[in-house]
Amino acid sequence: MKILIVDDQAFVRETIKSEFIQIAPEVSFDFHEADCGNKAIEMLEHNSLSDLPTIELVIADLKMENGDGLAIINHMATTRSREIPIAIVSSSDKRTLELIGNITNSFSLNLVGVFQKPLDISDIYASIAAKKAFPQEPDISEEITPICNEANITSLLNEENLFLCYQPKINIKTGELVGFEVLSRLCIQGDGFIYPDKFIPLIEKAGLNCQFTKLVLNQALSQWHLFEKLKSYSLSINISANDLLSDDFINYVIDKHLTNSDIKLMLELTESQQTINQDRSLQAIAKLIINDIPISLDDFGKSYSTFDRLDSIPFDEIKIDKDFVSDLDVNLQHQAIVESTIALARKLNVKVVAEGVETLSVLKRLQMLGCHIAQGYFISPPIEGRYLMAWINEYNLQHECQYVSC
Amino acid sequence: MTSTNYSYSKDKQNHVFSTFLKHLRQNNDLSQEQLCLHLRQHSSLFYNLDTITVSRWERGVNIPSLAKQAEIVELYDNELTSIYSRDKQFLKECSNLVAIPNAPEIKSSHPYYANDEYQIKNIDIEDDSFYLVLKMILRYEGNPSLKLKHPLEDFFWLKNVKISIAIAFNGQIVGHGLYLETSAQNFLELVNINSDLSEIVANCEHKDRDAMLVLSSAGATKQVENSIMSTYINQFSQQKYLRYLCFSICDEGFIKKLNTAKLEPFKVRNMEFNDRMIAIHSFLLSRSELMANRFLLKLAVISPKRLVTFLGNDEQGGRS
Repeated sequence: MKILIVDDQAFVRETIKSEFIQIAPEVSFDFHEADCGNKAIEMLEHNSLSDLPTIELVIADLKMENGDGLAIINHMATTRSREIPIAIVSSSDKRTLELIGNITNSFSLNLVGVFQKPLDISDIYASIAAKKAFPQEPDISEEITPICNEANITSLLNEENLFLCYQPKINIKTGELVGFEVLSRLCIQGDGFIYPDKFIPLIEKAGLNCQFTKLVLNQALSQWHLFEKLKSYSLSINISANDLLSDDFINYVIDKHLTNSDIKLMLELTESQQTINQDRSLQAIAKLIINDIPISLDDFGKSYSTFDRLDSIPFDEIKIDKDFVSDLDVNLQHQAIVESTIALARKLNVKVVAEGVETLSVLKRLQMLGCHIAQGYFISPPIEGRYLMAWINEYNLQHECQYVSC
Repeated sequence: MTSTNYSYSKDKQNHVFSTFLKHLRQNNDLSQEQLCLHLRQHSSLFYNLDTITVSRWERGVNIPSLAKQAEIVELYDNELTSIYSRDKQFLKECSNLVAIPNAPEIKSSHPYYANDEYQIKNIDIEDDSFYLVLKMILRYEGNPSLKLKHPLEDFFWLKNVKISIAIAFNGQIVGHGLYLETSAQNFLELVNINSDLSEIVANCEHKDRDAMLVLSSAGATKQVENSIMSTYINQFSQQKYLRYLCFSICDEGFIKKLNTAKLEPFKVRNMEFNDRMIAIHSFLLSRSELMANRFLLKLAVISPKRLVTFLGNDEQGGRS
């Protein structure tokens, strides 16, 4: 078994070696060593280019001079070494190790595990053995291409396949229903629902974003025209920062807004660092706002440079990402982030919407923190058009009853 | 492109949905224009519908997605499950999911079971083996968010918990499903907070129940697994007040099965348990989402009665 051990301390490498031999005396080991990340990367590179037997395991320390464990992870993620099983070892605390584990998994590397020092080699060996005993079946027949991919997205993107759902937003203080966010799904034949996280990146890449937003806008507006009652609720549509770069698109939206002036249209802008600050996008945002289309800043907090945008653009509301909200009753860091966002928004006179409210306890906490609007599974999962009126009537009835009994 | 063979018979015009549309128009004396107008007025999914498209649907030239079929079928007081269960070709596909295959070398995760006949049985609190089986299932699933604070025998509420098991020769259990009816909000509490199994059931008034929650589902072979799934999915499809089908599970095999069926968890929560990290996957599917997935639709169509027929009728002839 060919193993590459990367650690800046020689005695650690020695211990690992001797323990492996002790645990599995029947296995013949072929150990290779590196005292820093850069050297290890060199060795991996050399090994993959030449005809040498493949490395069957990389054990890498996190903290090293001259290329740390992360450098190795990055290298492996971008080269043919991707499939080599990797075990990360470190003396960092549990949270850091968890983070490293998540990073490695997000690169879809073959992670054996993240192990805390002092090392228990039998633990690592057991994990490798377990992986070998249950090799991850490639399942080629079933997972080869996702239903929608770069090649077919253009042909799949049409009215036939678009299926919209609507998720309610409520005023936290009064419980009143204020509006809905439009969420899109693609439904292709019998393959169930495909969610935006899968197809939006493809759409953006193919440059179909404006065309797609137009489809969504039209289907949603036609839903709002089916029932007069819907017009008392705002209708929020997601747009991407790239949409802002098209003058034609901006004019289209403004025109739609003018011809459907009885509908409270709102746009939720997903942040993307590069685009939003460009002069052209700022101009587009200004043009929309001047034409009475309020803009909401979506996924607030997810990117680093959000704050400088708040003072340059008069957003109507900001939406705090669900990752911060859904566990804020137990996660003090998330609570701190949400709390300061609300405080900031109050000073800037912007409404705050909390997304991802899933439990009563989170809703109550948000109310205490002075958050304005809530959205999430606790209030309701996204609702299909055909069930929308029934849901609204039921909600309003319950809400009235509660209000009276208060 | 995907291979979608869901009941595409060779004769395109006989597609279940085409037949449904044609009969619908005949029975209600509607022209294609009138049908088109009606759909446009009642659903935003069809705001741009034209008669050319309707005509293509009727001729089977193309067929809308199952999600849109469901919308149309339900608009005319019918159910996707009921129109599909009238189709022989579709039923054959259903049967293939659960029937014991001919090939003897079938992959089984059970050491003493390969490909033998089995039966599905539902057990409840009245059954002698109930507590034993429940304990066994909870141990199998090992879900750390699901606690049992008191000895099982104390709980009268367990009457609400439903268990299906697959039994092969000599009464050995080769598959199981653990599920119950609750509210979606209770399910979310479980997803976010550590719940006691009793709270999930006890906190829910009968009138608030809008979800079926599956806590464990497994089978020694693919066929057994599918049969178990069909028992609760069929029950779900029959109970109109149930709006959501939820899963809160950590068995990797079953999670993978759901992924292969193109279902994605809305939340994955990592919990430490006995020094191991356990990933609890939570799924929440609306009724329409379930119907829009042909694999789940097939399972929904398999009623207990049909299942008995499918399991008893080995069309390929005898097994070894």
